[in-house]
Amino acid sequence: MESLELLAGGLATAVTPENLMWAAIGVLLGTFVGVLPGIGPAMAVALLLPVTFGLEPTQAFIMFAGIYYGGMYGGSTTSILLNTPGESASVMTALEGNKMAKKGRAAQALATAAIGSFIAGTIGTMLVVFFAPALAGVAVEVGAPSYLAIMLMAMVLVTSVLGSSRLRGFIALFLGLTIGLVGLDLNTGQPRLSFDQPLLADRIDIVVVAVGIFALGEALWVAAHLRRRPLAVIPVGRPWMGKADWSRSWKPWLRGTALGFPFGAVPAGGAETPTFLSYVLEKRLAKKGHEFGHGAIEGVAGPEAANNASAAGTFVPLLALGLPVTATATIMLAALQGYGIQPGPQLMTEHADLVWTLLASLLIGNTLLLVLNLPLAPLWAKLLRIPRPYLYAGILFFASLGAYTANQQPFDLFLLLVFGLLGLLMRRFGLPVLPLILGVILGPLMETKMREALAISDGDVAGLVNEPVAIVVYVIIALLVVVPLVLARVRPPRKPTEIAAELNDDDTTSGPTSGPTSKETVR
Amino acid sequence: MSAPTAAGEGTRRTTPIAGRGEIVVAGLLLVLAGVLVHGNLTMDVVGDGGLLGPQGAGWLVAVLAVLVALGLVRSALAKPAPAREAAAAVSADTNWRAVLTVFGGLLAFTALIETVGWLIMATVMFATVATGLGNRNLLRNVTVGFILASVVQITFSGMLGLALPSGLLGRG
Repeated sequence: MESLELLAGGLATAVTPENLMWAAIGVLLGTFVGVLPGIGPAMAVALLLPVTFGLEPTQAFIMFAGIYYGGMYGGSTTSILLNTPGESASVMTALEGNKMAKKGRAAQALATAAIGSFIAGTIGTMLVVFFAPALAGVAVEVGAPSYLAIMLMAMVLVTSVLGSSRLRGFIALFLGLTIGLVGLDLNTGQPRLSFDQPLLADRIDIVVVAVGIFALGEALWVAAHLRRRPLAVIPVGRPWMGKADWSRSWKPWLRGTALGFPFGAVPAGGAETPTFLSYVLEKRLAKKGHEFGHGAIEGVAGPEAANNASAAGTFVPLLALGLPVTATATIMLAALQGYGIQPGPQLMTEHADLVWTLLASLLIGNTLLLVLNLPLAPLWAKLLRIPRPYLYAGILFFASLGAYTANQQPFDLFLLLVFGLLGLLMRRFGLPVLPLILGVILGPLMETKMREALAISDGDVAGLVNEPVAIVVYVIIALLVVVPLVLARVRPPRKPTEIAAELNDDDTTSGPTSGPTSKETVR
Repeated sequence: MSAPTAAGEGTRRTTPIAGRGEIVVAGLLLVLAGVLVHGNLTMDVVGDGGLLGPQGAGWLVAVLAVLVALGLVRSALAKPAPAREAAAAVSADTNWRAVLTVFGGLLAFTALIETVGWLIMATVMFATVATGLGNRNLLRNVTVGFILASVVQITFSGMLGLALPSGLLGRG
C-alpha cells in the first residue's frame, strides 16, 4: 500500500491548474498529430518531443503523457473513420470499428474506444505502480550477463517472432544496430563509423532516426504511390453510447485489459498479439456472433482496451529494467534520458519522486484525454478532410522545424533526409520499422552489458553464461527460435490479419487493410 | 506469340534483376558490412582489443550483415515468377517525379536554411512538398506555406526566444 501513498503524493504535486493546462495542450497536440493518416503514437511522440524539452521536468512529463495518450487515441480515430491504421496495434480496431462507422455507428465506436482506452490505461497504470517497484527490486540483483540475455530475448522476439518475415526483421535489426554504433564508443571514447565528422561522433539522436523514417519516409512513400483519390471520411457526431452499448462494452474492456497488460509487462513487446487475441476472444464469446464482420462493438472495445493496457504494461520493463520493447517505449526512453533520467533498477530508489510524478502524469493525461476528446471527436474527424498534400507538407514542415531547432544544426536536417530515404526503402521492401528502432537504442545498451560481463570474466566468453538467469533466458530464446521453425514445417505460416479476415466467415470481402474505397456490401 | 499480354511479360522479364530489387538491398548491406570491417581494421585501439574493446560489437554486427545479405540473395533468387512480376509492377508504378519533387524541396531547405533563411526556405519547402504531393494550386501552396512559416518565426523568436536564421532578409 506504500506504493499507493507515493502515487497519491505524485498526484498531489502534479495536479495544479498550470500543469493541467500543459496536459490539455499535450492531449490536443498528440491527438492532432496522431489522427493524421499513416502516423502512429510512436511518431506522434517523436515529432512532439522537442516541444516538451523547454519545460520543467514535472510539466514536461505531464505534457508528454498527454501527447502519448493523445497520439494513441488519434490513431484509433483514424482506424475507425478511415480504415488506415497508423500502426499494427490498431489493425484490429479498424477491422470492426470501420464497419461500425460505415453503418452509421461511428460515434459509438469512437466512444467505446475512448472509454475502453481510459479504463485499460488507468488499470494498467495502477498495475505498473505495483509491478515496476517489485521488478526493480529483483532486477537490482541481476548481473550483466543476465541483463544481456534478457535484452537479447526482447530483440529476438520483436525481430523474428512478431514480424511477418524473420529475414526482413533481421535486416531492419542490422540497420538499427549499425546506426547505434555510429559515434564515440561509450566505454573508451573511440570514434566509430563517424568518418572524422565531429557531428557524427556525437552519436545519432534516436528522435532524428524515428522522425526521418516515420515522417519523411511516409511522405516520400505517399509521393511514390500518388493517386488522385480523395479519402472518404465518415461523418461523425458527438460520441455517445446507449445502454445496450455499455452493457456490451464493459466486459470486453476488462477482458482486453487483462490480456493486454501481461503482454506489455513481460519483455516480449508488442500490442499486436494481445489485440489479436482479444479480437478472437470477443468473437468467440459474443452472443450475437454473427455481428462480427459487420461492426460489432465488442470487436472495438476489446482490442482497444488490450492495446492501451499493453502500452501501460510496457512501462514495467521500461522503468524497472530500462528496457523498451515497442517503438513508442523506445522514444519514451530517449525522452526520459532527455529529461536527465536513466531508467533502470536504480531509478526507483534514486529518483522515486520522478517516477511517481510520471505515473501520476499518465493518469492525468489519460483522464484529460477522455474529457477533451469525447466532445472534440467531430473536430478531429474534420481534420481528416484537410487535403493530403497539405497534411504531409505540414508534417514535413514541423518535422524539419523540430529537427533543426533541437541543435540549430543543418546537419541534423541532412541526417533527417538520409533516414527519410531509408524509410522509403524500408517501405518499398517491406522491412519492419520496430527492430530498427530497437536496434538503435538497445544495441549500445547490450554492448555495454556484454563488455561489462566480459570484463568481469577477464575476456572469457564463458562469463556470458555464468548466471542461472542468463542460462534460463538463453534456453527460452533457443526455444522461441526453434519452435516456430518446427511449426512452419508442419503448417504454412499465416499472419494474424489473414486469420482475422478468415474469421469473418461471412460474405464480406474487405479486409482490415483494403483501404477506404472498399465497398460496403452488407447492410 | 504476339499476343499483347505475352509481349508485355516478355519485355519485363528481359533482365534477371527485374522484380528482384532485394539484390540491391543485399548489396547495400554488404557495402555497410565492408565499411564496418574497414572501420574496425583501421581503428587505433587504446587498451583492450577483441570483444572487450570498441571493435567487438562492430565485428558482430558485420557478421550479422553478411548473414542477412546472403539470406536475402537466396530468397531473391528463389522468388517465384508471379511474385517477381508483382514486384516489378510495383516499381514500374512508382511516381518518381513526385518523390523527387518532395525530396528536392527538403534537400533545398536543408542546404539553404542558413544562407537564405527560415522564412523563405520554409515557404519554399512547404509549397514544393504540397505541389509534389499533387496539389497544383501553386499560389495557394506558397501562401499557406508563408503563413505557417511566419507564424512559426513569430512564435519562436518572439515568445520562446529561439532565433531562426533570418538569412537574406536579415541583412537588408
